Amino acid sequence: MIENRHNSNRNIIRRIIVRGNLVLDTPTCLGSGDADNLIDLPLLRDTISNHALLTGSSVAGALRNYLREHNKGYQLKDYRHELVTKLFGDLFAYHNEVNITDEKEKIKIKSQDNQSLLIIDDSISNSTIQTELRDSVKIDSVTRTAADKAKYDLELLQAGTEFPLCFELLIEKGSDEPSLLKGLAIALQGLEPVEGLEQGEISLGIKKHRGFGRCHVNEWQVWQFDLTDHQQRLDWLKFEHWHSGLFPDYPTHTSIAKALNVSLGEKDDQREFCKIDATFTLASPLLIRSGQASNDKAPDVVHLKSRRNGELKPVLSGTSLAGVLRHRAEKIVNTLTECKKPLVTKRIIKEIFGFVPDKKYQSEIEDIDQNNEKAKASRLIVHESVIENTTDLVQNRIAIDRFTGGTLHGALFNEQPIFPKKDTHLKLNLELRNPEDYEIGLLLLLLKDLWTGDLPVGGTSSIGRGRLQGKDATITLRIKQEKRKLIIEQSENNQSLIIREDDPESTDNTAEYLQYFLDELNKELKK
Amino acid sequence: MSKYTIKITLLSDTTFGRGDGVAGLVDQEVEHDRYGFPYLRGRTLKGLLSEECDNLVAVLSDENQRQHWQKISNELFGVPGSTLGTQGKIHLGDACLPSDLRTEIAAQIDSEEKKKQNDKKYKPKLTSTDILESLTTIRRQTAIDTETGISADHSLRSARVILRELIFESNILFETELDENSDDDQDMLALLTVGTLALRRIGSGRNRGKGHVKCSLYDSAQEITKNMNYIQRFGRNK
Repeated sequence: MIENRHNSNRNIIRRIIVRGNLVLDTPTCLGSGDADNLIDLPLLRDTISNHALLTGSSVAGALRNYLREHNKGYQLKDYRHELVTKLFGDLFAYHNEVNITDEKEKIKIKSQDNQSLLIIDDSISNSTIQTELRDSVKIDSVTRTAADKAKYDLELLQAGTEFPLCFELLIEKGSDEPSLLKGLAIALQGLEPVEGLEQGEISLGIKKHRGFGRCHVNEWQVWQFDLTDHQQRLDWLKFEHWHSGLFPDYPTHTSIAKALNVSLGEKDDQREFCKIDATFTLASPLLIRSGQASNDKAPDVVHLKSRRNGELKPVLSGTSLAGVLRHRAEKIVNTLTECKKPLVTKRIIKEIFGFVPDKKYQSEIEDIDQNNEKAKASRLIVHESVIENTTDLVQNRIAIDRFTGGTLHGALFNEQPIFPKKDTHLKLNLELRNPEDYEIGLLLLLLKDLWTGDLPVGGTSSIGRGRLQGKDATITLRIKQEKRKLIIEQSENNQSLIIREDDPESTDNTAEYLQYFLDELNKELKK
Repeated sequence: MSKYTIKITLLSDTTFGRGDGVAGLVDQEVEHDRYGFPYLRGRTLKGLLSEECDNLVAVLSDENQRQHWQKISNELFGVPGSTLGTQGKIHLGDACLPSDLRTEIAAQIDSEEKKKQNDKKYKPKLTSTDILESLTTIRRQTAIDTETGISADHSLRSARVILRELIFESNILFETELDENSDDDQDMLALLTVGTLALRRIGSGRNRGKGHVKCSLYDSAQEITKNMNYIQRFGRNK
């Protein structure tokens, strides 16, 4: 009997290689974290070429997060011995193990740690970097003007950038192969286009809660190698792993679940959310100022545009819409509480829209956040929407000298908002994760304000720009193990709304059901 | 003595970790020599190769086969607990960048340093830091707190990475001349060949994209990793 040289063999009996082409659907910022740059958030570039770099760790983080959310729900921590941990490797420290003081026990627990069974390669974009600059500024909710020192700019990758992805799953002897495969399938399914949409559920990069970094994978290629088989082992050894991207003469699959031969049911999905997908039209011109002036002669201010399939399209950015919604929500809560409960307002708004403790108001924070709160990401996801069928027109404006009543010298300026045409439309997508009933009520009020044109978006609203008009909305609710889909429609302006259930056989009173959420909001604010 | 060369082409940025960092600059520094040239220690390379070989041997389904190849592996890489009898037949050198490049630049750096020694005010035109910085870059990453969705406290790390597409070479020496007619010797070479082919990821963060490499084995004349005879020899049914 020959002794093994050591008994630490991983006993990898199978290797599964998965490849796909990731396409970005909205601008994406994969930041480099470089502090000394002209732009506040520069892109991460490949080291030897002018291509963008999507690191394996970024993809891993996104997939890990998606799988955990799918299996457990939003905003929960990882624990040892979960599927996520088995597939993506153990964490440095689990929060329930941090306080163990016994060194021996610590070492014993630590010795169970395992590395990730899923290898994820770095990916370099197929084409050179095509950038888009996006300027943003924070608006002060009280004065409704730009906040001081709150302007920043982002360097974004254009929509349409492609990244070749490559994964390799190692199956060790004695491991639970079916559940690992299922985990991988669920995680990768997050990259597949959602039914009826072009984008997947996973977003990459920063500000993904404001619509950046949406992406999808259309086709997968899967190789399975059983290393105990002589021929398949040879195939793996000869596999041309140095070529990136899909192999031209190898079958492709549109569904990763089918390619890996696993069946996924919807009942495993533990996420709770309230999604609103609404179609709007423009009731007035719209102007969201864009930072980048065009190279040739351009008006002083031009509406924000972004590239989609190489074409410049006017957009309603997620950051802009979210800001407007945040301030209106604040106003609604203040109104309902008759401005008597500023702390309640702050809590509700922060809980939904996220926040960063502002050092400028340090003393105020110490008053409010007794428990020294940390920053929090937004639970409301606001996507960026492309506005279809619009025209660009330039408006010349002057300022009037208050003293003489004549035009102010040197104060002629021109603006280029977008104007609605007959069939102008845009789709708004909002998603609130882990919603409380009263928060849904607040969201409905926001939707109503947008719908009726009471809540203008973008700039120059005081001269009548930025009003929207609702056409239809689909509200998908999945809360407390129950899933409902409600539809609100308005055929013509000034006609009454039709509120109905998507399921034609349902006899529930839909309007009453929606009223329930508003009542909950009132109850919460009366507490 | 038989001499072979293993060529490692970096397909992605790579960190050959040194186990320490530079305060205020990087948390994870790469292994580099006094002229600033990054390299992979032969000791590490041997560990990586032997691990890949052992992984391949361990999955052989036929018991006799496995015993045979385990024996070959033991002879090739040795068994822990050194005595003359258990010593491996193979000796690996550090995997370095091409030696002509290194000697040329080393000579320049040495001469610059000499000038600096003679004249304290002299500013060297080329230092080891320049070399290291021209061949590497720094990459940062944080973890995201799953509960709040923001970056987790104290999780920002920076690691130096060696630029991709660089080629490192390591010399492999066998203690004795390999006999073309000896089955065992040819098996040894076959095992080394498949181990080299299986070695695809090296260094830190290798499950997360860093350190993706392509390795190939050469004898004086040709590339052995392209020779199907050696690849098929491993684990064949006798």
